[in-house]
Amino acid sequence: MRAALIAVLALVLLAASAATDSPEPPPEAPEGVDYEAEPADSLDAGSVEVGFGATGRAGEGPRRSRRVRFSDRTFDGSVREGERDPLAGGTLETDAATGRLGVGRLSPRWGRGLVLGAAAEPWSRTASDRGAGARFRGRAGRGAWFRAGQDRTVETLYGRFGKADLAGAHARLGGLGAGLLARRRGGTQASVSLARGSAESELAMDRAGRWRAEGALERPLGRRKLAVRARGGLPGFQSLAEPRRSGPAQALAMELSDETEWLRARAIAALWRFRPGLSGARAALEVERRLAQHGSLALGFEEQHGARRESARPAGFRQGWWGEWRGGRPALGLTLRHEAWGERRFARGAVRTLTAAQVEARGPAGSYVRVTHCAFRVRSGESLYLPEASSDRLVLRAVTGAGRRTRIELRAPGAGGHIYAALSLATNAGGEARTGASRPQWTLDWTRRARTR
Amino acid sequence: MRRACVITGAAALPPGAAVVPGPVLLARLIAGVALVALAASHARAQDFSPPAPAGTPAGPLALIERGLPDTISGVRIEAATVRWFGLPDLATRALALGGGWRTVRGAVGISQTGDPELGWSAFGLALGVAEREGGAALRVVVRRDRRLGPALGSWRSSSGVGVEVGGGVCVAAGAGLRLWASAPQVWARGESPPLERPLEIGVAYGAHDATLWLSRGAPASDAAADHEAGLALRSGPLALWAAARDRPLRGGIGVAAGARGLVVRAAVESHPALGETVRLALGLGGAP
Repeated sequence: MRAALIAVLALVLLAASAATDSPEPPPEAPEGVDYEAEPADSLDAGSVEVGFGATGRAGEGPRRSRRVRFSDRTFDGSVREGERDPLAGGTLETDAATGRLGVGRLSPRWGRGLVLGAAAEPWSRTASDRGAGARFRGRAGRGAWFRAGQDRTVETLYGRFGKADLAGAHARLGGLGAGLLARRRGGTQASVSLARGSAESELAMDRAGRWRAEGALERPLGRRKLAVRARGGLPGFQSLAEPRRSGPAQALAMELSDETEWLRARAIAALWRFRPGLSGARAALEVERRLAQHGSLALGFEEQHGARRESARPAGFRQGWWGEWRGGRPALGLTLRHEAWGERRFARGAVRTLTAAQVEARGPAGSYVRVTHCAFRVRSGESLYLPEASSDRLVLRAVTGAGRRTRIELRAPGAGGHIYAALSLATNAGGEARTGASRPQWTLDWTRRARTR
Repeated sequence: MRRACVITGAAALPPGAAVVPGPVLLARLIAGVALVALAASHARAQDFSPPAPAGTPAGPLALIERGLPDTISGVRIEAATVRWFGLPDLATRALALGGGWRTVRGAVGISQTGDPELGWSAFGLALGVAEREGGAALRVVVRRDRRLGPALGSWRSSSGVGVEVGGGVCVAAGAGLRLWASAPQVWARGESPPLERPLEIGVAYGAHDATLWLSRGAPASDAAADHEAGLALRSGPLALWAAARDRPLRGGIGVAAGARGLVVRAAVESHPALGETVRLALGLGGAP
């Protein structure tokens, strides 16, 4: 079930990538290296999940990992342990007094996220890995928290975010929220937010008087839906908890979406400015036509200008297009995808191209064999991330240069749970080139989920 | 590109040997230049290249070459010869035996390219499944330099022998549409294959007796992506097709005819700089 959910999340991410761009890690992650994320799937009360995994490359010893998750009426927790596992760590939460007390990883979101829990990209409306209901478990910090009241009316936390020790409290009354975050060695930020229906706004300010405000609104236009987000403030304002996620000081983003039984269309336009002289913009249009037998055809076009991150070198003008087709039968499915990005109009002057094919044969009891093959060409200085979903995580694999990557995955029931095995073969141009210079990478994982009562 | 180096002769000469212009060296130079050009032109075919439209692969040679199975069952034999760019020293001869039982498809074949000094032999094997809604197959090709001689032990030699493994999959998308993906070189070991063949994806639309196809070959490490468009027409035992490719722009035509289980195919592709490539095939079983 978990692997299936992760696969679905990967597809969602792929779909999201088709809707906007190739997926990429959040700004706090270094560019050009692999990034791993943990899907935030839920566990039924009275269940426990145990997993053992190993991963490695040919010629290297395996790296083992273990994980346990459990959920009881009053006590929930998850622990991951493994050598050089970026997802290692744990979370424990239990009922205490009139609320919930927890220790472990922190990824809170207050209001629009100006102080805590900002979206990763300047054009995104909400963070996919911050706050309740996020698709991925974030790793903003580590510490302890206490939440009380229905739907977290009062929340207090203390933890280490990056190199800063922070303490904060947030309270909500109806749609009105107020919070205060303080750093141990000086620095305080206050947040006031208001949520009413599909409208949400937040004003944040620090002790120096630097401020930032954001409002987001979603309105139906007939059967279509319009979402608008506007942000303003001073460039000097930076989140105490996650300065790299502070995002642009000013931004304006709009998204118009339309969905019928057979067609889904989405148009995005966004402008932002981190500080004077460092701005960016993007516009994208995606149309997805659903086909018979769960198939679909998606086509998209996008244009970008300027900087996507405050810390990164502005990429300048980029134009790209992509197409993705899914089809086949439940037992045998095929996905073909092509995307091309260029530094000139009509995606000429290619900086990034990707052609991928995925075939999946499904069997009984959730078993499947999936083969994904892609060929890419990425110009120096550009980043391309290939999403790879395994049984317990989603890896954004950073690739560069010209090469090919093949991933063979197998999932089958075994030993009372599910066994997942994957083998990745990569070939990059240059050096030993075509004879498979990169060493094969493998993953083996066993997961079992059981009821405790 | 290892084979290009071998064929140009530089790697084949012992250290310090004097380079004496002669027929052998000249032939090596011509063949080497042709192979380099072949790679630069991003040809998608190699040892088991049948004269057949890309949009409607058929026969055991196509199964080994691209890993794309067809729906025809029964035993088939196919022999083909390819003269690359009009160079007699750069000819490929291939023979394949294929069979289909229920949904299982398989093929085995041998191929030889070039002369005994500079060429190579190949052994190919493909196995897959196919039905109306689609199919998939795995293919394995082992190559060995012909200079190693006919001894079976030479196949175990670490030098001059290479293997590649890949596959293909095709799916019917309804309304006459069919999409495919072919990745013949997912995994390679030993000597580099003569040509790099990256992922190819394509779509074919068939209505009545006509098939239109478009395909895209992903960029190789030393070449940009290329595209192909073609149209095939069928009338009874006859089939005709024409295809055009870019980088550089070129085209080709082909014809196939069948009678009493015997199928003859021929195709000519013209390259603006390198000349014509001619493919001929004779098959027993199947349809044109």
